[in-house]
Amino acid sequence: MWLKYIFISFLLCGISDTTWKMAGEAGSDYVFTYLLLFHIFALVSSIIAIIIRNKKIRKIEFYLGAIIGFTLIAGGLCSLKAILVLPGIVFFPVASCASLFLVTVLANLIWKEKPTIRQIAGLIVACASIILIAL
Amino acid sequence: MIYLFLSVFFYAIAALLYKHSNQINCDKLSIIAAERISAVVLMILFITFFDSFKPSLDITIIAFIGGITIFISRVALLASLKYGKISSSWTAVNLSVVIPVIASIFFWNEIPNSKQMIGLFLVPLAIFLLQEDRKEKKCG
Repeated sequence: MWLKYIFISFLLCGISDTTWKMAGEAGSDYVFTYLLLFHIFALVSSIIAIIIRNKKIRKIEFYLGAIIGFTLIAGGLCSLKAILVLPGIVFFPVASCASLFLVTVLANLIWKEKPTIRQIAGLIVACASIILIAL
Repeated sequence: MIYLFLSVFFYAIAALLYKHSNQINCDKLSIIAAERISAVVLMILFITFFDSFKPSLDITIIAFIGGITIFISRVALLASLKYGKISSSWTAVNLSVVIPVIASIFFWNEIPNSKQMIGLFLVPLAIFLLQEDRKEKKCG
């Protein structure tokens, strides 16, 4: 079941990342317009899904989601700033691998999510893959 | 360098908050909707003060595809957290960087070098390894 969901997430996140590349190809003038429209369409999709499923957003969900949104935008803007001073060949592998390791370490500390040896091997292969792709 | 650290920190916090929302049984759609409300507000503020809004048909279509796909991707990511660890799910989703690389080969004729080709071939192996070990889960 994990593999099914993660494959869908992986594939669609990749398609979404490809649209970022397409927007970049259209010209740097349009990047922030693209980002605003991108988030608006994602918001509209989620609101339609909420209406169809007749859900109500609880306060805790709203605050938690709002903080996640803030961290994602702040992370994105910091990435944009970082990429202006650091070469992409340094930024992308360092940022990706550091993020993966930080999440693994913090999840271990907070929820005692200890990765198995196989998963540690997967993490190492993933980092190697990211580094090689960025080279 | 500070921006690199902040970027890593913010993305890691986002991943952990996704996990936390799952732990406390938050509704996936509500979390994503609230996340996007916050993102839209911040982007409007950013464009108002530091840029300008320049819509075009092409950009709108590209953003439409990107917005819908990221929404479904996030729903699937949150669903995956019920069956696996955040570290595995977050790693697998981060590996999706290969898809724009593959798209670049086909659409923009960007030929990857041999190191990038090895990196691309390692991605399926990484995802396979990141899966929860069934035997171990049963024993646990």
